[in-house]
Amino acid sequence: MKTLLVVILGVLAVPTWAAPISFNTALPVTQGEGIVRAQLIRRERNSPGAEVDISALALATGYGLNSRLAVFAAIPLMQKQLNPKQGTAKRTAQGLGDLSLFGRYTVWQQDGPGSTLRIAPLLGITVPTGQDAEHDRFGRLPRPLQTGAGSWAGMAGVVVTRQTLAWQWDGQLAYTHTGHDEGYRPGRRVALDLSGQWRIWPRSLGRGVPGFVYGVLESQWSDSTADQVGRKDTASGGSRWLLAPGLQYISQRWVVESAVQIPIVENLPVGALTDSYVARLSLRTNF
Amino acid sequence: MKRFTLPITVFFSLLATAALADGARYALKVDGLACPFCSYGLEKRLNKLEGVSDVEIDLTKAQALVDLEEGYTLDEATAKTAVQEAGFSLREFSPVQP
Repeated sequence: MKTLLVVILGVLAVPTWAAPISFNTALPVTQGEGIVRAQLIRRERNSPGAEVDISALALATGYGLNSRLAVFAAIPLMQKQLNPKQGTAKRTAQGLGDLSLFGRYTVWQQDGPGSTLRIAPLLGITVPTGQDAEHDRFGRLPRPLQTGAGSWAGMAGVVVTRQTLAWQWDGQLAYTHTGHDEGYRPGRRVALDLSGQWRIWPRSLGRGVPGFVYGVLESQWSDSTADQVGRKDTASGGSRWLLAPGLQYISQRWVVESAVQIPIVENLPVGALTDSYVARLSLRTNF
Repeated sequence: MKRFTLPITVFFSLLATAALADGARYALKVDGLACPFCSYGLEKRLNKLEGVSDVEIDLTKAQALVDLEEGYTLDEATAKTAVQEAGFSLREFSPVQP
């Protein structure tokens, strides 16, 4: 049972800032201006012994410090529920998750009429603001079921964006280095994300600034080391490749978007939870 | 009352046209502008410039038209800084003749 619980967490990919739906972009945030995003996430995971449902409302905001440097903050409000397929009753944790803070600096930018290509490294930390000692009637909840990891983490990566009036693609390579707390350490993770967005409406552009509808296809490959719960948890870690078809409506003030990530390949240890799907629905606005 | 509607409408239209014609207008060709959401940041930044009364962005032309109130002017260096602060590049700056 303990092993089963340990593999619950995986890494809930808290959405930070993005033009893609599930990761970041190198597109600019105007100096002195801000952007806010709210994203609803539903993730269902499965193993022979249990199902795990994770629901989250992730709030993210970005602010342009200057034309090249933008800072971002993201925090999820989440509920995690473990439903054993036999025997014991379900266990639930809910509350604020860990706060992610990161900066993005555009190191290279090539602009043309109706197009841009940008490269921007990312550097950030995760602050253990989530709960890591919640109890239910069975006692203290297992660490992976808590809403927070209980330890600080660091993230470094780079994001590349190429955008034209007709299409956009983004790519991000990121590494998350997790810390220890009371013998518990979530797996360290490297992820490669790719996103293609194609304007499907309007077919041809008129004057001014029309709203766009993009068809979206995103790919996420990730590899995690095993979690540590006093010792290495052999039923955790591994690699995954998810694909996510989606849609975006983009106007000057608002972006409404949705995508569903579906596992294509999961190379996981025996007993690990597999993903059924990860669904995302989000709203972004300028302020 | 109806017979006054047309003359009143024409009068105010002429008045509005005259008011717009009073200030200077500039055309800014902006590189790097390729989506509606990004254009809002540029519009807000240009609107913060002193004397700006209106900003019209056209994505396909990669252009921002900036209208100023009477008595104000805009120079290229100021426009370039504003466009850069929005995250884009100014390619061309020109006054629009009435």
